[in-house]
Formats: sequence, structure tokens, C-alpha cells
Amino acid sequence: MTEQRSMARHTLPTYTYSRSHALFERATEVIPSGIYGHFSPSRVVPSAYYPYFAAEGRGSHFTDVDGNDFIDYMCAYGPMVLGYNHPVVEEAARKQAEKGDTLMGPAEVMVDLAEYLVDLVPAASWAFFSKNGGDMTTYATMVARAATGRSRIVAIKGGYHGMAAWMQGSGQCGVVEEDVANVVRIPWNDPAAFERVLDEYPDQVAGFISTPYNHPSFEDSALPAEGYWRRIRELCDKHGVVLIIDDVRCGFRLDLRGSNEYFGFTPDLICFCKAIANGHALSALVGRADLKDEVSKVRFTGSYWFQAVPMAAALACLQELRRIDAPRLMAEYGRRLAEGMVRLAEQHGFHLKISGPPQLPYMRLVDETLMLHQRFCGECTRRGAYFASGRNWFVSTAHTEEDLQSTLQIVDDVLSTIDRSDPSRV
Amino acid sequence: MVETAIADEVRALLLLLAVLPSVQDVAEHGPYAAVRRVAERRTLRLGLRGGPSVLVRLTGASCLVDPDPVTGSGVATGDVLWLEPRQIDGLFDEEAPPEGDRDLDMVPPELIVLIRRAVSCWNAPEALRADPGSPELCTRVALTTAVFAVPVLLAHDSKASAFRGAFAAQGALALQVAPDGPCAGLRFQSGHMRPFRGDVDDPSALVRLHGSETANAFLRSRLNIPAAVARGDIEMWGYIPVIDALTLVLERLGKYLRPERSR
Repeated sequence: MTEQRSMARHTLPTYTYSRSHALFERATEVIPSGIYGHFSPSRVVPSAYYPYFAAEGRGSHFTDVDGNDFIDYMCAYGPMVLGYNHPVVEEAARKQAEKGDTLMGPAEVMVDLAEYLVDLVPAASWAFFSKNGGDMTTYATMVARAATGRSRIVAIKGGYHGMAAWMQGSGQCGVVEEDVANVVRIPWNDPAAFERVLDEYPDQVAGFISTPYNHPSFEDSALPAEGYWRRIRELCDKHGVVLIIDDVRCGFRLDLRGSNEYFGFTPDLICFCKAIANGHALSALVGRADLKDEVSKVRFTGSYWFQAVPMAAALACLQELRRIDAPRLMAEYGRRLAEGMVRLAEQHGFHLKISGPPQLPYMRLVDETLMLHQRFCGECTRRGAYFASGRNWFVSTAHTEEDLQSTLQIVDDVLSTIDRSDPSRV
Repeated sequence: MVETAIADEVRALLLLLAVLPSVQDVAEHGPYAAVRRVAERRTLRLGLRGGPSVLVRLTGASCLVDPDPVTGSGVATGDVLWLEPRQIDGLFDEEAPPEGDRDLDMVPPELIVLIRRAVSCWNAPEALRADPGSPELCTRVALTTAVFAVPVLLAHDSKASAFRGAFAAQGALALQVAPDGPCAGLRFQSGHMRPFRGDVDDPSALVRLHGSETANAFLRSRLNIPAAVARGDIEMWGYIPVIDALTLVLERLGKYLRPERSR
């Protein structure tokens, strides 16, 4: 399971992944790419330092199929917010499962959940449920088009809103020009660019879709500039454009009322997913009252969209997040983690740059290239602190003081041994 | 018809600006010293009339190919300029006899042999596996062809051009064959892109290809890349989006340089 490195300067053992690799070989026989999408080993660098398959999760930790234990700073890429196997959430899910999950009609809990969301989120007068964030971003653009009778959608360059063809870039395999013809990309934090698009396409823009702050892959996160959202809101109002916030990644981590409240503006539609049900499959679209009728007109459904268990889990999750004031807890942990890591980096002569909010920090070991940072994240991961290098991390309410100290010990160990001269030589 | 004409033009540009530079690799690294020696120093300009051209300098023991439009404007001792893109195919057709083609009268037969060897290295490295030194040579040819093809495809292929933005960063993308094989890549500076052969210090993105077979498959888009990365056959480092874009651009190369097109 672990091997003590022969080089004496390593103090902590590093993991090996023989069972993960064997399982991957089996997977490639019957599954395209073995593991696809965001969990593909090709998305982490160096992939040999990462586990490919997970076995189980408890609190802030998960173990892989080799029995290695990790403090998880990716939180299943966001869905885990209260900790894996959270007793309150799982008890609610279990109770609903005893009654039924996919039934001949929605369960009562769907109404309970919708009422709870409408009460919790000021921008919400109604709620609509599906499974994934991409379902809701696609649906939101359809609603915007139905409401305005227009075709174009404005999005941020590098912004990610799911894997539907309209959202992928031109030239991607399986995407044709027609799929992306009505999507116009503008830079982040540039209302003037939005204004130019509105001038260039008068009465043609149906919606503006964006995350509440910019968190592109392989780049530092960028918060909205002063007055940015106020100006975007003004332009949407002036030109009759539906303002859609993709809160899939940040939702319920920055502010339980929606990340727009954190940044002080009101959108027309908000897409939620990830943290809404602590790992149970659910997403939601909420929005302003006068769009409810438009939503009713746009056909959209799925075989498992009325599953009652994820809805019961979501209700319990949101209630628990509210009870413990989860965003504050995550912000505190994130701040302490960042402070500790920055301090250690300075002690070892490195510059660790932090961007984004503390609940979803993007931490980068500054170098001419990203390779030192990638090596750093990989080295930490194979010592038990799971860090991905290409995107922001996630903090949960389950991360403990012990996790923090263990993480800092790992970071200290890695920073004291990492090869700066040729980080890509593994 | 329009699509066919465009495809012919892109193919001609790729043959001139991406395959022809790999002839230098064949001359330098292939076991063909006898054929690469020509009696006199010659500098030929090969190209499309009114379009891009390439200078090929035959200097006895070496064959230097310069596809750069600026430095490539030196004095040529002979010009071979084709009127139609499709006519260029004759020079790269492995199975056509080099003699008797009036278009090729000006091209030394030694150069034609080198060119067609480069084409066979690109088209069918598997068939050459038994030849001593061929796998490594095929890898060199593929590396050169691939990196020189990228700017051509970004400029002229409608699908590849969608990825221009991904190559806008400063720095260099290096493709390195491990453990001690050749390296080639692309340098980016101020919106310009220049292919290069050889090592580069501190690339902003690095693809390390373990072994000739992996490299040959990767460069010809015949590899399940995510699975190869997971197995450790390929390492990707640095700014991964530019590598993702490269793999998608190289997918387009096969559309124009399929073996059957040259037959």
C-alpha cells in the first residue's frame, strides 16, 4: 500500500496504486478511455501520483481501492460539502428510500424541497429539479430563449457550464458549427464587451450566463471587479436579457442564499447542483416569479428527475448547512489552510499564490510554468492530501483541526524535498 | 467542389510546409547516405505559383529545408512552381516513378527519393519496423511533420482554426520522445508561432512520449490518449489546454495526409 522512499530526505511515506492501475486496465476493455470526463486520470498531473478509483468515503476523507487514505480537498469536485456519509443526510435518504425512490409520480418531498429553496434563496420564486448542473444550464438558456424570443447567449471566455454541445467550443469532437453558432464569448470583468455585443446584435441576445466569479481551469480565479455585477444587471435590464447565474460549483459554499448574495446582485435564474444534496444526484433551477410561466412552456424532463431520495437528501443537507452556518465554517477553515500553506511556502523559499474565496481556493505554487505546482500537488496527494493542480479546491464543513495539521505536515514535507530544477522529471 | 478544392489546397500546403521539412530528418538520420549526396550544391525553390514556397538546399552531404517565408526568400538556383495544388501530389507519391514526370524534371532524383522516404515514414511506420533505424526515423519524421503542420492547419483548416486562441500564450510547447529520443515543438511569441526541432528550456507545456511506438501513434492520432496517459505511456505537464488543443489539431492532419490520398 505504501512504500518508504529510498531517498532519506523523505520523511512521509508515499502511496502506490497497483490495484487502481489493474482496475483501470480492466476498465479500458469495456469503458471508453477507462475512466472518462473530469475523473479521467489524464486530467491530473502527474497521473501516476493519483489514485484512479475510490473505495469509500467518511467525513473529509476517502480511501482508494488500494486502501490509501486521503484528506479530500476536491470533495468529489464539489458535491461533498458536509462530509462523505453524513449521518443526517444519509438518515433522511434512508428513510425516503424505505418509502420509495423512483415512483409513479413525484413524492411529497419535492414540494417540501421547493418550498425550502424558495424560502432560502431570495432570488427564487419557484424551483425546478433535475440531475446535473449541465441539465440546468442548458434548461436556463432554453427558458431565456423562450422568454425573449431571441437566440443568442453571451458567456464568458473559458467559462464552463456543462458538457452539452452548445457549451463546448467549436472544433471539439462531436460538436458542429450550428451547435455553437449562437454563443458569443466575452472576457471576464468586461461590461463594455457585453455592451458591444448588445450593440452588434440588437434584440438578439436572450441570456447572459456566467459563474458568480471566474474560476477557469489552469488559471487563477478572478473575483468580480467593483461595480461589475451592477453594470451587467443594468445592461440586462436595459436590453431585456435574462441574467443566468451558474452557481453549480459555488452554490451553498459562499452564501446559502445563492452566491449572488455574496457579491450583492440579483439574477433572473440560478442554476444549483454539486453541494445541494451532499453527493446525491440532484440539481435545481430557481428564478424570478414572472419567468415561472415560461419555464412551464419549455419541455424538459428525464427518467430519474423525480427521484425522491436525492430530494430528501437535499432537504436535509440544506437544513444542516443552515443550522451550522456552513459557509462561515468553510471560510474559516479555508483561510487557516491558506495562511498555513503560505507561511510554509515562504519558509521554504516558495511563493504560493492564493486566489478565489477561501471556501474554494485556487492555490498555485508560482513558477515560470505550471509544472512545479503540478509536481507539488501530486507529491502532496501521494502523501495523503488530495490536491488537484488544474482547478480550484473545495473545502467542506467536515474538515477538522486534525486534517489541517496533517495537511500542513504533508505540505511542509513536500516543500522541503521537491525538486525545483526539473519538476517534470518523476 | 469548393470543399474538394480547399482540401487540395490545404493538402498541398501541408506537403510543402510540413512534410517537406521532414526530408531534412531523413537526410540527417536515415540510413541513406548514398542517395542524399548530390554532385553539386543546389538550392531549389519548391512551391505553388503565387503561394508559399520552400527552399531546399542540397549541399553534398546534407539537405536543409527552410519553410520560413522570411528567411526562405534566399537565392535559388532553380524554381519548381506548380500551377495547381493537386499537381504537387506527384512529388510525394511513393508509387509513382520519379523519371518521366515532366513536372519533376528540375528536381534531382536524390531529393525525390528522400521525399518519398519521408512520405513512407509518415504513412506506414509499421511497414518499416524491420528496417534498421526506421522506427526512430519515422518518429523524427512524424514529429517534424506534426509540429510544422500545426500553423498550416490553424491558418487554413476551418475546424482547426477554432483552436487558434489556445495557442496564444507565450512560451513553448515541447514534444519529447523518452527516454532519449528527439524533441520538437512550437514556440509562441507575440501572437506568432514557430515550429522548432531540438530541445527547449522551460517549455510552458510538455508532452513526454515514452517510446517510438507511442510517439508514432500519438502524432498520427492513432492513440487513446486518456488511457495512454493513465498507463504512463504519455506524460503531460504544464499548461494542459494547449496540449488538448494540439491533439485536436493533429486529428485534422489525418484528413489531408491519409495514405490513400498519395496513391
